[in-house]
Amino acid sequence: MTPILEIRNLTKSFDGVPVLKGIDLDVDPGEVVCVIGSSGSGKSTLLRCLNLLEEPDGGSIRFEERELTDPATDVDRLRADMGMVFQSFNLFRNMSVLGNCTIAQRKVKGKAKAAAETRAIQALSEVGMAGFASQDPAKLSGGQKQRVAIARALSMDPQIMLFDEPTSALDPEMVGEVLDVMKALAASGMTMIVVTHEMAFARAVADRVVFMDQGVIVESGTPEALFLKPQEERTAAFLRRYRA
Amino acid sequence: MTPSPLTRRPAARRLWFNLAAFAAVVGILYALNPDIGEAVGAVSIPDDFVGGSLFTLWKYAGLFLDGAVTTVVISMVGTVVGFAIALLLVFLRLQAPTRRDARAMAFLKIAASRFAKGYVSVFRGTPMIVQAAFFWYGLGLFGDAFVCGLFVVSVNTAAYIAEILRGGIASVDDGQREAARSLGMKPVQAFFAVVFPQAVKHSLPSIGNEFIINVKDTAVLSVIGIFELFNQTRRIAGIHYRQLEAYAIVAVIYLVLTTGLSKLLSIVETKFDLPRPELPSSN
Repeated sequence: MTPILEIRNLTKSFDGVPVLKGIDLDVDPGEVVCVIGSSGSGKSTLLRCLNLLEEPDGGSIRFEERELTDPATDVDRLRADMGMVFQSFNLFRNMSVLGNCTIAQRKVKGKAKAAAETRAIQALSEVGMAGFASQDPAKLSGGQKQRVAIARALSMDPQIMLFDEPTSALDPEMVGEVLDVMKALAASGMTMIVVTHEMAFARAVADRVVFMDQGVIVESGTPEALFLKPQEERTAAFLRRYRA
Repeated sequence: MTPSPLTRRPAARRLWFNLAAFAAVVGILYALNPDIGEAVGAVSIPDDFVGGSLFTLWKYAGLFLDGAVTTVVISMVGTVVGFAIALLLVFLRLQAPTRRDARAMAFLKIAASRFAKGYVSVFRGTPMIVQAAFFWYGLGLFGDAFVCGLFVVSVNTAAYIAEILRGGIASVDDGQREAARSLGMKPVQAFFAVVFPQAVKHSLPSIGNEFIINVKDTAVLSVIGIFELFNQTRRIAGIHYRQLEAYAIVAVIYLVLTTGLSKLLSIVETKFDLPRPELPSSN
C-alpha cells in the first residue's frame, strides 16, 4: 500500500533551538497513528509542520503524491484535504456553528450555500451536534465546541485528520464525548494522526503508537508492543511516569 | 402603590436626578435674572451675564446651529472617510514577507509596511492645526476650505483609526487565523472572513470615541477659515464684543454634543453587545 503521508528527515528549530531533529514517518490510508511523549518533545510541532502551520527548516513531506515543502506546491489546496483539530478548538467567534462548518466549503471549494449546509449538517450529525447548528459557539461547553471543531474539519471531506491534543483543554467530564466521536471516526476508516496524552485512547484506538522525546521518534509500534514491551529505556521511563 | 424615587430602577432614578438638576439650573438663572422675556426680546444686549447670554443664544441661535451642523458633518465624514483610509493603511502595515516570497515581493511588502508606519508617525506626531495650515495655505491644493477641512480631518483620523484597528487585529487570537488556514483558506480569505470582522467589532467603540474627539478637535479648522462651531462663535462674540457670554454658550453646546453622542454610542454598544471602549486618548 502506498502511504498517504511520507515524512523524511523533517527538521525544525525555533530561534536556533532544535525542536524536530530529523523525523521519518509514513502513514498508510486508514491508519490511526497516536503520537505520545512529554511536553516539549516536539509532537505538536511535528503535527503543525505537516500542514505547514509551522514552516519546516528541512526535510520533505509528501502528501497525496505531492511535495508540501516545495514552494511551487499549492499548500492551501492540500490543506483543504487535511483536517486539523486544535487543543483550544479555535471555532470562529464571528459565526454560528453552521457558519463555522460552511465558510471554508464555500470559500475554498466554491460550493453553493445549500450544498455546503447539507454537508455541514451531515458532519454535525456525525458528532451529535446537528441540533446546535444555529447556536453561537461561545454558548457551547468545551466538549461541544471540540465536537463542532471536528465537524468543521470533516465538512471539507479531508483525506486525513490531524488532532493536536484535542482533549487537553477539556474538563475531565467532557473528555469522553470527544474521544467517543474520535473512536467512531477511526472505526469509519478515517486516516488519523492524534497527538495525545490519553494513553487509554491510544491503546484502544491506535493502529500504531509513536513515542517522541527531545525532537526524535524514539520508538514506534503497535499499542500492545509499545505499552507492554517497550524496547527503549526512555519509552519505559515515560510510561512509568504516566502510570505513577 | 408608587415606589419612592429612591427605590426606583437606576435608569428611572437617573432621569429624576437629571430633571431635578435641570430645574435647579433654570431656577438659579431665574433668580439671577427674573426677566427672561425682556432679555431675549431686548433691542440691545443686556449688560448682565445671564441676560447677555440669553440674548446672544436667542438672537444668534441660527448661527450657532450652522456652526454645530458644520462641526458634526465634518467630524462624521472625517471619521467615516478616515476609517476607509485606515483600512488601507492597516492592510499595508500588516504586510510582512514570508520565506516563500520572491525578493521583489518581499521588498514591496517591507516598503508598504514602512510607508504605513511612517504615515501614522507623521499624522499622529504633528498637530492637526499645523496639518490644516500646511494643506490649505502651504500646498494650496484645494479651492474650497471646507473640502480641505474634510481632507485634513480624514487623513488625520485615519492615522488614529489605523492604530486602533491594528490593536483590534492583534487582539484576535492567532488560533482563529490558523484554523481558517488549516481549512485551506488563503491568507486574504482568512483575514476578511474570520479575523477582520472580529477586529472591527472590538475596535468600534474606540472608533466611536475618535468621532467624539473629532467634534472637539475640528475647532482647529477655524485656522483655515471654516465656520465650524468655534469659528462661528468668534464671529458672534465679535458682534457685540461680549466674549464671556458667547464662549460660555459654545462650551455648553460642545458639552451637550459630546455627552449626547457619547450616550448614543453607548446605547449602540449595548445593543450590539460590543466591549466597552478603552479610556479616550488625550487629544
